[in-house]
Amino acid sequence: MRSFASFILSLVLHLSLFASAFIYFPRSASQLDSESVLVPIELVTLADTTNIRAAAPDPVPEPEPEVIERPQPVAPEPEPEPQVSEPEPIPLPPSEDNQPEPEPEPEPEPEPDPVPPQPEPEPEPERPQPRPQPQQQQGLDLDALSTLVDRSRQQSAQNRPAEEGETRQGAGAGTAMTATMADLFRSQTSRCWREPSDAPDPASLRVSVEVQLERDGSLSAPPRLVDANRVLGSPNPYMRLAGERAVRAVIECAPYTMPAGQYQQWRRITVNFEPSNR
Amino acid sequence: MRFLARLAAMFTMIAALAAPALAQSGSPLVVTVTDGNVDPFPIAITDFIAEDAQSAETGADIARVVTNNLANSGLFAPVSQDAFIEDITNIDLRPRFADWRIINASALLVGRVSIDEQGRLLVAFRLWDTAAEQQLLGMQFTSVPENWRRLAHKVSDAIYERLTGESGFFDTRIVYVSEGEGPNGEPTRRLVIMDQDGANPSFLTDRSYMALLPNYSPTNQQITYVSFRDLQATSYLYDLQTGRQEALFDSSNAAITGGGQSLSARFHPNGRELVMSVERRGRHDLYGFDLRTRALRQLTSNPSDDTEPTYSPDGRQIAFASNRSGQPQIYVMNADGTDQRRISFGPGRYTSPVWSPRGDLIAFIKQQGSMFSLGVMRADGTGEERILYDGYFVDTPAWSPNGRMLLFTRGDYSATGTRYSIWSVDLGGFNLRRLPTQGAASDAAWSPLLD
Repeated sequence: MRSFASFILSLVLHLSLFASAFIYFPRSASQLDSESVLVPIELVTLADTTNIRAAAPDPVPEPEPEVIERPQPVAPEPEPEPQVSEPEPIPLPPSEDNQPEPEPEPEPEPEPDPVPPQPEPEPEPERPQPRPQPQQQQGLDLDALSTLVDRSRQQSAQNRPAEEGETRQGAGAGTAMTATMADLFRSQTSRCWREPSDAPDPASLRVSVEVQLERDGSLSAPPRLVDANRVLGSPNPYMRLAGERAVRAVIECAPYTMPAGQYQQWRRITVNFEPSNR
Repeated sequence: MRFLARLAAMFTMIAALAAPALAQSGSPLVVTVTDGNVDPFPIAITDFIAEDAQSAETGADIARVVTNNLANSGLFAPVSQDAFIEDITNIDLRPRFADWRIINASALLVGRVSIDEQGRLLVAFRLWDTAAEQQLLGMQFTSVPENWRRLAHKVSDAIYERLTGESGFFDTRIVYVSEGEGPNGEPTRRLVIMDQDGANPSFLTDRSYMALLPNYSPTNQQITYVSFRDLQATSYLYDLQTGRQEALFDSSNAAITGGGQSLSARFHPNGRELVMSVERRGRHDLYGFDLRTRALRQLTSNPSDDTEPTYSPDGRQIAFASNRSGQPQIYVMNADGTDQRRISFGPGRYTSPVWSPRGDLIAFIKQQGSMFSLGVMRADGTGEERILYDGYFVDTPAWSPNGRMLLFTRGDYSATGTRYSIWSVDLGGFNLRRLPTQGAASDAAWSPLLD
């Protein structure tokens, strides 16, 4: 009898244990799912360590406030009258003849720019190699196709972008691979992008930059702002800044760490910078 | 059957290969970046080159003031001069951009000061983009040498505007209430005016009466404030250029007499009208006041108290605090008093609304239990309110002229009583800084850009 009771008890306990697995397992499983979203973040860290940019020599020793001192300031001037004289300097000469007109003053300067002996002879966009250009396989050879597909499956399964592949020239790369490559580039660019999130209506400040890269991840040509006339000539100062900031981001984050094997896929990149309203 | 399976496999293969084949045929990889950073912008500021002995010190002084301004704004991170590699000797030559990129300076400011034949100070500068290797800005200012500090502020404003897209706020002044003690230990409240960065402070009022709650005209160098003389609160208009001040209402103004007190007058954006709350027969209502005609116009009439009115920057609307629903809350109405509607609905007491110069936000003070908060909400009442600062005591928000920063009075508990000081914070709730005032201070008001 007793053994029967304990059997029942044990059965109930086991069942509840079993049931609890049903309650919790799906939840943890979904967590696992969402975990995969983290992949690009991991890439970011990788990129960070290899990127030289982190070396910041400037802790900014905080300029002496200086102004704050003024020990005897308040005390000295007793009556309100003195300020009368003080504000006066304001309407004086400073303002009128200076700032607003860029026309007359700036003249003296403008010429200078070209003067320089051009010490930086430009890194010469060495665009020599005619690019082996991955031989597009035309004829449909079923066997070759199936091996390719197998390989691409295999590869996307292990999902290691930076590894091997020179021999393959990207032909076998699946779409999953391309997405990863976009993520890889994105994670490296967003660090240097100063988001215009404090401008009014940031979502209207979308700009695109065309980037050309060398095989080693450096820029092979200066990045080109798409629609540059519209962006830089915009009456909206925030739009002009958005264009400048996008170009600056692409330059400052170079060189990029990209999988050499898929060079043909990231040789040219169009980067859309899309701030959001939040 | 097997054939069918093979066929199906073939189709999947073709599908699988199509996408990469397209990508490879020359269409570029498309990357969409939606998240960036909002880190301060790294800028290298060199000492301005002096062309003669007279202006030697001025060059370094100007660089120091500009550096301090930009750093205090929270949007810039000036690079330490110790890190500089290239020694700039002529601002008309292209700098070696690589030398500046390597120390992570995204922009480079170089400048020159000189004194011309007429003894005037010339300040010229160039702002370079070190990544694109282009000049972003080149300007020159002239003034009398004593005015070098204002020129430094003007340079700061020009750089700020070029790199942020909005107008600066460095060539401005701040008026505040300095709290002190008289010879017999009695408390004094005097108005002080100083440059935005704390330089050149001087008193506007003397010890014989208390001066409180200054508000700046958005168009010229005038303020209103409230004086307490003989236990009577009166609104005054103070012209800072002439030093002349006058009571806004005297006993001849029939609308105010009879024990009426007026408080917290704020300017219309046109600078020629005021809106204020006036106490009559024990309750506060809002009135408009025309500075030229001296005509007073009643805007609200309500058994409860309507106080602390503030104009929208287009002058079409007025926000104010009212306790008509119990605890004080924030309301908005048309400038003529019609269409009154409540925009704050949170728990606690909402007071001190101040409309942002940009127009989209209203700053407010919220008191909940023993906690005070400075926050902003959208002027149309939509969205969530955003708290920028919480503390033991918070009061009297004041916007920077570009709507990017807020000043506020902060009280901190101490054994000898609450200690008051003025702090600034930006719209994101970051960059909290104490305003460099001497001694206890409160009730700041920020001038428009000088010209």
